Amino acid sequence: MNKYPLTLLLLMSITLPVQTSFADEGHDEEEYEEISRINDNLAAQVEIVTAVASPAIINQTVTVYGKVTQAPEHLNVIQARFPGVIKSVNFSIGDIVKKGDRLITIESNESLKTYSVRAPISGTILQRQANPGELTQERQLLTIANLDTVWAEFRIYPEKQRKVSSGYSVMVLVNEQRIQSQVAHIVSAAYKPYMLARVKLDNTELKLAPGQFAKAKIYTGKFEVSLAVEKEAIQELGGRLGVFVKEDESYEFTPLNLGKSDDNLIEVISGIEKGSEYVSKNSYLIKADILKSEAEDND
Amino acid sequence: MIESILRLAIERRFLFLSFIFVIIGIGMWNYQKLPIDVVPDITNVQVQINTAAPGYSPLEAEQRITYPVETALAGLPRLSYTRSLSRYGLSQVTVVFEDGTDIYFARNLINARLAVIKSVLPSGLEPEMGPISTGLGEIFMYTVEAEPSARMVNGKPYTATALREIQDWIIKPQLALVKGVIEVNSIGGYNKQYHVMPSPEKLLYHRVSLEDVANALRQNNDNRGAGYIEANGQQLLVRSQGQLSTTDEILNVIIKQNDGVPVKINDVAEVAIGKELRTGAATRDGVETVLGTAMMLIGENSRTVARDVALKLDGIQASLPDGIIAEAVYDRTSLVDKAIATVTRNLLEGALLVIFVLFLLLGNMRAALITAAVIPLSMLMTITGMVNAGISANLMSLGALDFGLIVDGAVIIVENAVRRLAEEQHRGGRQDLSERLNTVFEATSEVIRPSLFGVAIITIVYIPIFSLSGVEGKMFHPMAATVVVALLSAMVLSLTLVPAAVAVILNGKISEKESVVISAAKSLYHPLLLLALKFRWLVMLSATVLVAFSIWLATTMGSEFVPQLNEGDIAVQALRIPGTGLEQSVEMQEILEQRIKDFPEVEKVFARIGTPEVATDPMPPSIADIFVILKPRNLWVDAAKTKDELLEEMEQALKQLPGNNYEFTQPIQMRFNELISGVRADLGIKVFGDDLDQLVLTASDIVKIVNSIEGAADTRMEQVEGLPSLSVNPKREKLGRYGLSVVQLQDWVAAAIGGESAGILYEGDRRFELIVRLPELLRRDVEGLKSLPVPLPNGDYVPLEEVATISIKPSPAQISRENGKRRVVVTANVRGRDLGSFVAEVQEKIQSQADILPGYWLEYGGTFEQLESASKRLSMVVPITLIVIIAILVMAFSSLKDALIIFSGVPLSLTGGVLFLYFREMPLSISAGIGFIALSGVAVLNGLVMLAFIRDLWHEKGDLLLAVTEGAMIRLRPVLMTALVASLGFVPMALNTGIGAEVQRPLATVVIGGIISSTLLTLLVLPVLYHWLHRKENVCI
Repeated sequence: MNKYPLTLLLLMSITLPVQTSFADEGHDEEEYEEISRINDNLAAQVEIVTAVASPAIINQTVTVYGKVTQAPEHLNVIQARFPGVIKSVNFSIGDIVKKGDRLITIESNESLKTYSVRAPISGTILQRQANPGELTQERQLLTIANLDTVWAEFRIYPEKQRKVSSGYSVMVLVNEQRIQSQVAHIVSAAYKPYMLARVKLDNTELKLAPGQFAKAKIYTGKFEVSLAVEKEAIQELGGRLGVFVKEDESYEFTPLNLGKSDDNLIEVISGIEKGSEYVSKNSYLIKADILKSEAEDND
Repeated sequence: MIESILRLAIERRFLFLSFIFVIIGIGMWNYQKLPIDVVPDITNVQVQINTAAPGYSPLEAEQRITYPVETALAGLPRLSYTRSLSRYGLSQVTVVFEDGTDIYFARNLINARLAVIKSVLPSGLEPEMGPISTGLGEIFMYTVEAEPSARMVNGKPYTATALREIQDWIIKPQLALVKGVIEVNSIGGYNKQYHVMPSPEKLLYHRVSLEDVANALRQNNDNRGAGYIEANGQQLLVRSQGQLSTTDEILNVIIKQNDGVPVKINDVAEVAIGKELRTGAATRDGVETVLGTAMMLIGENSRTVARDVALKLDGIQASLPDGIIAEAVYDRTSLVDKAIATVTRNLLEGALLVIFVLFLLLGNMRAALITAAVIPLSMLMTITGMVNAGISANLMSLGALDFGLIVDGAVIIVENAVRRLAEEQHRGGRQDLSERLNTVFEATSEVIRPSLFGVAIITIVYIPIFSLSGVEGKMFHPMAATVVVALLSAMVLSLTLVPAAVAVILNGKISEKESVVISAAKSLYHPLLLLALKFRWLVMLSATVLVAFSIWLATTMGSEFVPQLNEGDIAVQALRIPGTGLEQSVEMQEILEQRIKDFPEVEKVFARIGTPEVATDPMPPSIADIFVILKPRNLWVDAAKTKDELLEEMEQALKQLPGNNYEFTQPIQMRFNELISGVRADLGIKVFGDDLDQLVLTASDIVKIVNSIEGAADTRMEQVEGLPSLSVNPKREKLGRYGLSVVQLQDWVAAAIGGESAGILYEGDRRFELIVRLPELLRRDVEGLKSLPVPLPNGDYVPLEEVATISIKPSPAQISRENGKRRVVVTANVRGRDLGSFVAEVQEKIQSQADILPGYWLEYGGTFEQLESASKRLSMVVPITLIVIIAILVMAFSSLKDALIIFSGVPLSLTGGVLFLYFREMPLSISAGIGFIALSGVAVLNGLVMLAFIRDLWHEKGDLLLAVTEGAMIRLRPVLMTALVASLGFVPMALNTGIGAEVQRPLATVVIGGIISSTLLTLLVLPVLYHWLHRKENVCI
């Protein structure tokens, strides 16, 4: 007649089902499918852009830093051939002289004759230490520099030395100006861990001053590759790199064997066919879509 | 004792009646203080300790901050456990205390401990405790937006930074003053910062380092006070102003001199108002916005606080610049109002129905009024009790109140008094006062015992609910407590006020018309009863079959934990893969919100992405909490559409969007989940240890083992990896060759990429950070970073790749710890198998197969643990309760047999409850379970009333059959009355569809169904049983 076990049972059955009520929250730990389906309308809305894998030219560059320097052949220091007294100085700092211009007249101590010193190069007077009446002694009298051409010297540290050699074209950035030129030669800098890549710059227009800081991109290689994709397109999935190839309205992850790359493009050695349509922009969205079942909130 | 109280109540009846005013007074006063909310607060006693550590990766945050903080907290009194997570730029330690711990006490303890470890933490980092709030705390949210035509002072459209500035410096300080608001949290936009962005080339050219720039700014940005002087009797304060205030002033700061030429900031850097490296963003209707959240202090009244905040926000509008709008997007008041309206309506309609039934069945207006008066009085007493016990008024706590149940005791007394007084009048005409008082006393004392016992029993059956712990406990304790208080109040009232009122009011001629209903019922009942007594075997057999059938039915029914309160609004969590950046997340969010906005039912949609300023909910940037506020139902195009259908459609629409995973919840529900956030699966296996990689290895071993066991479902490992990081690892040898130390390199990397704080810029009250870091273009270019020139101490430089390897590697996205140790959790659910044996097998297999290295250990937890403990507790408490009830019954009847006969009403009453649930297609839930509990009380009460009378009659007259039939006939009215009032009192609750009704519906359904079946069965089966069991006995007095 004692009915309480029944009541107990009922009470239990009320609390026990709690276990099943939470059961639907999890997700199966399945190996994900590497395909995502997105209709074209939506793809356009979320700004998924595709491109076609095609042959391309890959321009590899390295970025280096350096300085603008005076070309040594365009710097002249005027001294007196025979010691004497300076009679006249015809130019002052900032004056522009032409090769052969008479710069200074000096009366020689020995012959007591006056002779002229002429400008060995065209250029600008940078320094003047000479004034009429002074003795020349062994002093530097004038400094003439020609800044029509200057050199930029870029440091090539060991990490990049193998990549750079003379003759490479280079884009020099200085004072927000871009100058296209070539690496004239690479010389080692004395007692320094780096080499110097020297680039000759025509300064007639640029008005660069020696000592200025410069940055350059040296084009280290120009390769015509049979197939390349945009670098932005590459995503990592399951430890492999690849792109999402579009087929109708589905996007499948295709692992690639990748080669050389530059700032924008990367060579494809194998993995996709020429002419394949792949996602070039917003490829992260597709990766996110494929992996979305893994997204969880684990506070 | 009971009798002396009764006698006193009747003699001093006017004194007792005047107590009504006291009850009303105290009740009204307490009502003002009653906290009102939607649901009970199920948050545990917890304190979050957040340390913002800009630039720290998860590993560093764990090592430098989380570990010392956790260690310092070990051994706090009443500490339950600690858990922590370390993410980019944030260390959060959550300290959970035992339930019932005073939160201020706990915070004080933590404060003291934190003060001690301050010196251990990296300088500049300040652990802060989260706001003193709970899961119900986010009561109000608003967005700050600019009209499209609005322009800033400089004539340009408002930027996210400018909006955030308005939020932080105009709105927030004012809202924070509202009483009951503990925190105003901001997310979205950018904290305004002044950025000094030097170009690396120019730095090298001028031979200036980043550090020099930062130092120069620090040295040139201060005001100093220099005391005062007295001149001509006047006091003059002396101060020297050197603070920077404009961009131009910053540009003109001199860093150093090169050959006599000063190098200014202007020569090497650009200065601009920049964007902070933010951890969170906010969107609304698909556009970035600034979102503010007002959080309520623990224990405040959410309705009033939210209302005050809304009012204040309206007021603040006037102080905002033209074209700037601060608009409320989420206001708890409306939900609370709706829920309270539902409850009030249920209670009111229930009360009216009860009064109506009383009129109908008693046939005496005054008697009905007396009984009905018990309702408001006991309600006021209940409110007083709730305030004193700290229970808030909400759907749950008020959800089980049935005025029918409450007045049961009073009904029995009044009914008997009316009957007796009428009888007396029939017999002897008018009575004098003392005679009448005596009749009242006799009538009352005749039934007071069974009625008190009955109420006591209904009260006692609620006791097992108090043994629930954890979330279930927090959910249902208030409900049980409220009902118990209400019942006790009613009990006190029926012992004192009711007899007093009967004595005063039921004078003059007592009209006791046998109402039509009753006489009809009687004429129907009598033949039925006789028939039942004749075919008693059939009756008892069918009763048994019915019970067995409904138990079987119960096992086939679906089940849910607690019926979910429909908050009216929707919360969606959009989850993206770990490692997704904030900008990317915002972009994905925009189209998502447009989709949601396309639904005509949606009024507004807004979202939080990532972590807000105060890390109350530390989400990574890959996760968004989306709030969807729906239009009022009457504005829906398709008014017949249910919310579930809408959810379904929404899910379908959102599923098409690439890259998002969703969880659909509701705002309050979501917040609770975030705060409680234990292991939510059936079984959680926690792997503790030191090395993260090893932890992952061990955990994946365990996943394999668990998967091999039958019944395992959804086995998964907590995600640890997944945040790619750019590692700049120093090449020590090379560094040495260039004369650079590791710290110098790291400082440079940190300053160049992360930025270095170089002081604060003041604009009135507003203060903005001054940051030195590289221009955005350079920072973002991963390849370019390799060739960035790192300055050497000798003034020379070297490209970064010469002295460091730069690589992108996966790294931990977050590190979770529990009780001071690193932890990885493996969770699994169980399908088609019982949990106990599954857990046992898992434990056994892991022991034998898994290779757990020394220094690593496992802990088993999860829902199974709670279930186990709950089952254990219930299997102790339920039988004890039942024994107590039987003991009371035995006390009342001094007969075990009679007690058990009455008790047989319990399973019989359950049948109706189960059947009703089944017909209304409702699952079993704890709410329904509580209905069953209440039901057993009513069933016992019914049986008690019936049996007590039959027995008395039998003892009086000596004829068993006569006693049974006559007693049953006489008790028909009170039994019907108590049953009808109790079930009708719940009818509005069972039928209501308003906000919040879903929580109460199952309970009400069970009680109504159960009472119908139990009444029918009490009326038929009980007399039969009694007759059968006592047939061989003689009356032995």
